[in-house]
Amino acid sequence: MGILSLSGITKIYRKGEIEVVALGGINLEFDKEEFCAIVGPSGSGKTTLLNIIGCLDRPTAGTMRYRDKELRMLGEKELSEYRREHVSFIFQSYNLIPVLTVAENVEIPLSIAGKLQKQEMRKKALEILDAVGIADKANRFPRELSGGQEQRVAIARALVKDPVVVLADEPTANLDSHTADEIVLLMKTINKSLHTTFIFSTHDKMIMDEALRVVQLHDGLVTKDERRTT
Amino acid sequence: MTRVLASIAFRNVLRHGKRTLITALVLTVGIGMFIFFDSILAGMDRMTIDSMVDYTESSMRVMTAEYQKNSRGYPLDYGIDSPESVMRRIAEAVPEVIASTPRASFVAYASNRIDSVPVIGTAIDPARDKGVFKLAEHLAAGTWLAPDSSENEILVGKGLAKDLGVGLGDWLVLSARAVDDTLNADEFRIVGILDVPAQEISQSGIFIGFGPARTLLGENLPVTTIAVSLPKSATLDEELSASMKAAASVRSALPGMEAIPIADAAKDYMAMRNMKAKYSSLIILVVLLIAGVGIVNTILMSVYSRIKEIGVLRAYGMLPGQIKRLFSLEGLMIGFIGSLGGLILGGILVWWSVRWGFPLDKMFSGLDLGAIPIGGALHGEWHPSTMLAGFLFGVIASWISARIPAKKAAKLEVTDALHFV
Repeated sequence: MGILSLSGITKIYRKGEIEVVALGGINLEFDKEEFCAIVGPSGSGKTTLLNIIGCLDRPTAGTMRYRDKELRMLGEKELSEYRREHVSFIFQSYNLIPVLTVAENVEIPLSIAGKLQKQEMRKKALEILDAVGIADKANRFPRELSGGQEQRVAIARALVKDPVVVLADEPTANLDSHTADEIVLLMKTINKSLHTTFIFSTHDKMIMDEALRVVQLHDGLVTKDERRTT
Repeated sequence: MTRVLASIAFRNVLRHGKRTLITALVLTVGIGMFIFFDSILAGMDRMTIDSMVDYTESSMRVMTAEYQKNSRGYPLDYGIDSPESVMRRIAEAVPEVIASTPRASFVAYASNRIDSVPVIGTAIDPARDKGVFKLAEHLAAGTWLAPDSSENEILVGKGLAKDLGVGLGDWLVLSARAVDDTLNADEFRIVGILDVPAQEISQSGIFIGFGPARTLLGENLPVTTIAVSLPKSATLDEELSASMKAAASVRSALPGMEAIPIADAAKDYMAMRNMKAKYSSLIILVVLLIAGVGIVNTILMSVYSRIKEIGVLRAYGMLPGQIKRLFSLEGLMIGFIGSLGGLILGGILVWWSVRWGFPLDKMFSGLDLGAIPIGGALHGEWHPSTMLAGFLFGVIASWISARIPAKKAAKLEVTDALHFV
């Protein structure tokens, strides 16, 4: 059994009288150390699925278990704890906090978790920045970085708390193809070295080719679930 | 966590410098003006009470209990038996006493031989009176009464002299009921004209020495009041309280005597002043309301410009309460900056008004301000408690105002925040 299992996950958005089915009953299971791409056309439900896995959104129906724990029944506090301890996010537009330096941005998840002292947090942030290749930018502000460097900071921020699962919503969509390739390779390296599960959505064929599992969505339903070997 | 929230809040406050500055400026000006006006209003109170102390009432008046009961009619009965001994005992009971002087007030008619007007006469000891009252410093023309002069010299108020059409060196006929109830009259030469910011003296006040007064009113004219001068305190409240304390000491040291402190003499004025203080506190409420709206607006702008940031923080496990705290902290910081500015601005203005003041006598020279006791410069007063209250009100009101948009930020759905465009 995998670390994450989704069974009959449905998400319906209501806008007045109109109902939009974003996910129509998803059954998926994710194992530890997976490097999985969620693909599909716009509106197929990729972002909704990632949001539900990350407990940023609640499904209308279905069950989701994380290490034998039913997540759907958890309250706001427990969900925040799940996000704080077990999952991390990488966003398409990086979403770094502009008033904080690179190192401070990376420290944010650790500060929210509140388990480490200031010096320990800084040490960990610098280690992870070194791992993503931008330790020299630790004291810079996000506005001083390129798009690729910003996304590396976002990856460092996602990894600093040693999450089990990293969810990335179109992480390369705002990058040129060369930088996008670098970012995916970086994610793949971390997946192997730190044994972190990566689940990411993408439109990019080249990035899809790097994935070890591709889940294809269409109109909120899984139309293909393909596992590959390295 | 608090350190991180404070760090983000502080840097955002600095990042949007102009926005912060404009919002804080409203608070700065409002609180600064509140502190300044409070100081000036206190200065006006001080000026009014000082006028009473310097020209009519002194810091404390001592009289017999019977005279106090009948004082409205300015009787010549119920005088003080041995005023010199009473003055000595007052000085013993209240070591802070600077000077004291005997007085006797009476009702008379002053005539220029054509017209006659009622006046309030005061028999004084010219040498000692100068130690308690400041009348001698306000001579528009002429000189102060000569000490121990047996000549019939008189000082008259400027308004009275004008009404009677008399001037320096002219003679006035005073007629009054003497101690033995006979009606007496005598002629007095005007040696000085008093220009005092106290309407009752200017319009109907005359002053003569005890010697000529005894010729007019009878050899056994008693001293009816002893006027006492006490040191002036830094604030009016301290001064009024010192006068009450001194009066209590005199009452216990001199049984049968009544001591009226300036605090009692100015009771009606103080009642009016307290009413005025209530209305002046409305100023700060209006200012804080305006500043509060400004802060709500600023923090709302801050929330809307950072919705994605809120989404990221929530995605990484930050609780709604912590998001609320983040934006409340921003409001608190803006409030602190604005209120500190107000404290500094108010402090500078108060310092200026205490040091230099408004030269009202020069500003309004030639204008008849009637009953308004304006003399010299209007100085403000230091009120540390008001300054602290203004500062704290500013900070607290800002924090409360910021909680409204902060609550809105905390209620945002994570997914809506992350996908906000």
